[in-house]
Amino acid sequence: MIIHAEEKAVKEPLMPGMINGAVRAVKCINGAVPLLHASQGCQESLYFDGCFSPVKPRFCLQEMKEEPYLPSTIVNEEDVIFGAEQGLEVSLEGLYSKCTPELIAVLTSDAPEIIGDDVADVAQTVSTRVNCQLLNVEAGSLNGNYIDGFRATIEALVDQIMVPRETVERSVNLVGVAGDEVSAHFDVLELKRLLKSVGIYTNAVFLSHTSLAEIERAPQAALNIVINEELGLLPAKKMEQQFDIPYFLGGVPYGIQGTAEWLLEVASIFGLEEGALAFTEQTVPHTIHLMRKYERDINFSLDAAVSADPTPAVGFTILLQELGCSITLLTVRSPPGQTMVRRLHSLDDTDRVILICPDYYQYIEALKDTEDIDVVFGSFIDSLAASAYSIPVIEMFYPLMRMVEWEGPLMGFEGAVNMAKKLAKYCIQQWL
Amino acid sequence: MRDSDCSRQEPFAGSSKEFSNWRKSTDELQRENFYHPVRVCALFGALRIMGGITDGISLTHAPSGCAFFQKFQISSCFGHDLRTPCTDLLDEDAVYGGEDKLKEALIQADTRYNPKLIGVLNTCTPQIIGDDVDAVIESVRPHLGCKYVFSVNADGLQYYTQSYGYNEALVKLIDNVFQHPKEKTEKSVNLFGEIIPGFSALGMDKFILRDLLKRIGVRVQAIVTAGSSVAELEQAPRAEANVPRCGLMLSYASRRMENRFGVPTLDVLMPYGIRNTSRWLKKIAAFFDVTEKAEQVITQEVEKLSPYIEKARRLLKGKVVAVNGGPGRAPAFLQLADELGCEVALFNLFFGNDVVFRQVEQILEEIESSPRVMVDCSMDDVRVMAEELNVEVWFGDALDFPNTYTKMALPSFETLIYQKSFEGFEGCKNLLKHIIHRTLMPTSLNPVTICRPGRCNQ
Repeated sequence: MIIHAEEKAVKEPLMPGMINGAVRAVKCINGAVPLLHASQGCQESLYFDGCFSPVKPRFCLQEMKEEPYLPSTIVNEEDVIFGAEQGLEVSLEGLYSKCTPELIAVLTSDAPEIIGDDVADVAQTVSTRVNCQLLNVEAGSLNGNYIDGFRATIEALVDQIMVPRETVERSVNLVGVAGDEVSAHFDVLELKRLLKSVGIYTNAVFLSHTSLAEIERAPQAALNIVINEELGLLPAKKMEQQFDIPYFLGGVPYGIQGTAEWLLEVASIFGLEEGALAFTEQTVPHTIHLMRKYERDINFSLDAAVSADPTPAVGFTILLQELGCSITLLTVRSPPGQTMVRRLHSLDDTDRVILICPDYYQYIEALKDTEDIDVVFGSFIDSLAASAYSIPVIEMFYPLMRMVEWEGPLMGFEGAVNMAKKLAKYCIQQWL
Repeated sequence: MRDSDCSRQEPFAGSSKEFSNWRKSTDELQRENFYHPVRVCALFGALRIMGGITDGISLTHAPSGCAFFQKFQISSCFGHDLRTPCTDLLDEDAVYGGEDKLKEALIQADTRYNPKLIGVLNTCTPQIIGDDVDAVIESVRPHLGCKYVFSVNADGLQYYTQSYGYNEALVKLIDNVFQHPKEKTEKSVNLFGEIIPGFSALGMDKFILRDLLKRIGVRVQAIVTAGSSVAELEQAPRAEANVPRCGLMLSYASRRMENRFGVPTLDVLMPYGIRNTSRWLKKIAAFFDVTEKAEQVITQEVEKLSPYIEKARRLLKGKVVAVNGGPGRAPAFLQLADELGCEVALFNLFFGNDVVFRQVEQILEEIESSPRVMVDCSMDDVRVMAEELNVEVWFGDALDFPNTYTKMALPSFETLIYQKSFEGFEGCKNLLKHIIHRTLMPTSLNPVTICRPGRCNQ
């Protein structure tokens, strides 16, 4: 049963605002430092969030590895009257002289957007005086949620940093990777491995430990592969318009079947389906063998709930189903794209509630109504919600509020084996 | 309404003596060209006061991002599931105004939560676009079932610290909810400005303090607000005095309480450790003229705690420590560190108001050490200074800067995140045991951890 949460004028937010997504994206760019054009309250909250990010070290300055570094212009009431452009200009120069980053991303919050600060103009002026790239992202939470913020940052990179290049054959960009998710780094390695196995070279990843050089060379790819529809589709379309790079938005590379189909689809675009078929025929039985090794002695038939953004929620549900779990509640926190809507419909089942875009109140009500959930795969927010019903939560999706120890991917063949291993470990822990 | 504690001070780093001069000369904000944060905004403070009312809700008039941040921060720190309904302002609201949305949200919130009180927290965006929140409230009031509806000013553009949020929310409660009493409750106090979850042990401390006061014949009239109902808050003016949570509550909210209801607020430090708790109790006892009873209680308790304090002193005597924290805990920890015989080399205060600075100044005059004092500095600067001063132990709030503490690999203790009470004499035992434990254990085996949602079993 698919339930679209009723739109209410009063909402208990289940996900962060746009500026948070923009900060997340900048975290995933090596050598980049964000400059929040925002008031102090925004800054503190984002800073606190950053403390628990798996990609924290890359976000910090070399000499300041202990804490996430989140400088801000601290917009105040005077700025609202007189404008905050001058303060921003001074801040940009000051920040550059302090840490000489490769890229400074100015993330503009609601207040400067409402008062109409011309951030692009300030960046243009300052660019002649600093030896680094400047990026300007409109990231006020009035404009959307953190998915929009992440996507807007990739779009800003397309608009402001990339320049046309000659195409390199059989090369692809992976677009729409949320690099600060716990499994993202391993997922990217797995996808690169799979693509390489059929003769496709990964040119750039948006965004996971992405270097400025990688961003600059992105337009040379022959194809953009959209990994996450919500994060990657619009930037891929933009790159198609600006650099004539086609994009591929197919299945989700989760689970054995999903991964095999995804790889074959991508390979067929380059005429490499034979190699892909050979590879999957060779790899799939081995992967199944490994999965069954963990499944043999342990019954994975958990009644589980999954709560995440659309693409990971759908992908992870497919993976868990392959492992024998029964997903009784699937909560999609943000609006799904068209492809994901179709996939959600394909997952529709009488025994399953699919809840789309609930607020916290509606989500708690859904948890209450869904009987006998053994475990929730979700985020810190799910821990809060589920604590009222004493349902255990495995925190693995953003936002997290502690350092989660995580090894291995969720995507690809390796992801299927890795998840089987983790589930086996979890079940044993529960029995003990 | 603007108060001196709501404006930002220039960051300070210097000796204890220089701190004294700086305090006297501190004026308005001296803006740096960019700034690395250590503080939250007024909305955080307002939510921590309003969120403590058991049968009330706070409706944040803001984009959902603001409300989510606060939920994320407060819930993750304290394991308290703070509910943060908001109006979810969007782009078009910035253009056409958010008043209609607020009106509808108020009606829906009234139906959905069936509260006795709704506090509308007015944030940066509606302030800039000029929403008349009070007019909306008046227009919708007849359609609401709840008893009290009022706005609370909580924008972070004007007011840089949670202090303003605390005081603004308290003033609104005083003006709108507190009722003129027919009679006073003899020898009674309010625990004033108790914020959620009130603090460690998810609110257990306030009950420990209530029991301690009972032993000297003083009754707690109301806890304002953590864990109180609207009906309990209505009766708060029956108290003869307010005992503030910390110096931040000794601001214009306490003055309003005194002017309106004749309830004075006592100047006390948070009761951490024997010295602070004894002074806290004596001050209250002196107000009610029951000093003798307080002396008896203190003698009994000090005797019980002496094995723990002796052990802690043996371990910590002469240790070079840094005291680090917010305006409530940091001054109290400064006293505690001195009580345990530590050499306080560094005192870092996240921020403060005039009352807090005066409290700090008095403590600095009293204690044996002459620490380097830092106020409103970035944690990077604090860490560099701590390394320069060869600090051996951290006293204070690790939670705000978990990575600094972890990286420095020094023993530290944190009162915010452990599910135990640390205040009063009863909490002191936990506190001392905690300090001993943290000091003895290798830091690598004893990392800073966050408390998880759920109540403690204490």
